[in-house]
Amino acid sequence: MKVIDEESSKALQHYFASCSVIINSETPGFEHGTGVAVRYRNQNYIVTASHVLKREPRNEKLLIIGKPDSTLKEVEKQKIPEAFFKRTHGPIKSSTGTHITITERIESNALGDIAALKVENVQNDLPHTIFHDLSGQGEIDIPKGKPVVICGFPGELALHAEHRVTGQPGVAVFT
Amino acid sequence: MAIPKSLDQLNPLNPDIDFITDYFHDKETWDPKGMSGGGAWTIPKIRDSELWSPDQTQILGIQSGFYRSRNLLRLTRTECLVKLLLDN
Repeated sequence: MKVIDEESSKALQHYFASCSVIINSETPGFEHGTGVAVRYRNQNYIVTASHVLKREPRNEKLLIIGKPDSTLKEVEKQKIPEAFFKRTHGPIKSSTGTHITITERIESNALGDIAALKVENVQNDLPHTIFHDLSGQGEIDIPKGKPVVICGFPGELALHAEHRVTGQPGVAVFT
Repeated sequence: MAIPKSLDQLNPLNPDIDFITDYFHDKETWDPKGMSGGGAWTIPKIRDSELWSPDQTQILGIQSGFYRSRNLLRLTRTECLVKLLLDN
């Protein structure tokens, strides 16, 4: 039974990570944020905190980094360098920041620090990212006292770097 | 978790919009910047012989801030997200 629990936990973590993206920008100095890929009423969105998008008012400058074409690897923080440079946990694939087709930016001050990018063509732009179906979620009940998982890309794991060939700023991500 | 009244006087929390959760992480080195916009997900209870599917998990909210000294994360409720998408 314990094995099944562990496998379920891994599947969940993999799912959460597969629905999460990094929001970055071509603009130097942009502080990246996290986004969640969701599907609602047959439309795809990247949702995030409003203050993340306010740092880059131009949609065409935004770069979205989605899930790479590989499975999630669980690595202790201290072992990330050797996993990355020595491949101690097997092959690692990377994902590149992509300009995606954003048809609308949706915000409302009345609804708090939340915003959504309405996106199209995600099969090509974010082929391995999973869009969680919000339509099927049902009624939300925030479980007081029960654990939840927060999935994101904290600064210590997502280091800003410059691409050596193009000179384009990006984010090196260790997930 | 109940919202302490004095938590954020510059940007007060609204219980209809915001909720908070505590977190456990290495306080010394963890840099929560970059986490903003991430989802808070429920952990479904899997019963014996039941297959897990993504339908069993819910997004409860989107992270909007943190209070490092109090080990608290601030999140915007998913109801607000659904309303945002419905209104547009």
